[in-house]
Amino acid sequence: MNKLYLIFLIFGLSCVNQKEAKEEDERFNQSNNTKEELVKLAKSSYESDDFGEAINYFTQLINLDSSKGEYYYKRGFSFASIDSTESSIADYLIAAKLDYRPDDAYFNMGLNFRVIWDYPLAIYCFHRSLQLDPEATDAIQEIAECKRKQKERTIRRSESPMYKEMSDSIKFEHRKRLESQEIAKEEIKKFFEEYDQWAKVFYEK
Amino acid sequence: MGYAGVAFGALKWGVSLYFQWETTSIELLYEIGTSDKMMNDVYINSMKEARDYYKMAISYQRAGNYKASERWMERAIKAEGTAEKANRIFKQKNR
Repeated sequence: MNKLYLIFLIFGLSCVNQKEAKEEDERFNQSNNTKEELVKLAKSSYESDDFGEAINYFTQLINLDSSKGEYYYKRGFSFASIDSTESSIADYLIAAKLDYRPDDAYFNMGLNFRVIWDYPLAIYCFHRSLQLDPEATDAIQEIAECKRKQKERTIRRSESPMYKEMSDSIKFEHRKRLESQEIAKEEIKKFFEEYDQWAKVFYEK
Repeated sequence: MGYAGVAFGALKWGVSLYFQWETTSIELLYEIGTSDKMMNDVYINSMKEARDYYKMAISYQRAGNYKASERWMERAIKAEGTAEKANRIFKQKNR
């Protein structure tokens, strides 16, 4: 009987080993893709809305060539689509710094800030987008919408201390998460400095 | 325990629920469909819902029923979050 258990055990372990070896092979093959293959794979996953895969391929591409803003922009879009808002913001910041569609990058960042309850930063991003593309009427609409919502929230905050505390905690938690994004630490620091300067002028008007 | 105690409890519970919900709601939105019209509808309806829930929360707060107020506030915050996420899918600039 004991021998039978032993045979089952050895069989089970060999199956696990085979599975691990297969996964290892897949990882090896993945990392051995040429840049052109990776670009194709990233493009097809991105366009078929398979954002998890797209993030994986764009990350590999960024590791090969970190000077292409397009990879950061598309990874930022993919992160937003799987709800990793802070990672998305970090990638958009780098894309804007590398001058890849900076107006759209700031616009999308503004939408991300709306999701994480940060209307002042959202307004700032829409202003930056507008500066880069003065024809962008959608950025003007977003600024107006954000201001209207900000007013609504101010009323809610004064009416309910519970709402005030909850919204402050959510905003605080997200800012903390954003500041801990290793990939764009410098960019995020600079972004907040620029925002502070802008806010001084904008809110004093 | 008073209002401060209830509020603190609600805050901890509400915020933890918000972050748990945050990771799953986007999948639900993608299940609904991501066409512009659908997302715009989700945005408008969720915002309306949020306003209604918020009114309920305030009326319970005024009546001194903080537990019920907390539950409606939680729903209002979730609905508002869903609206903003639908808005992001609807408006973000992609290709």
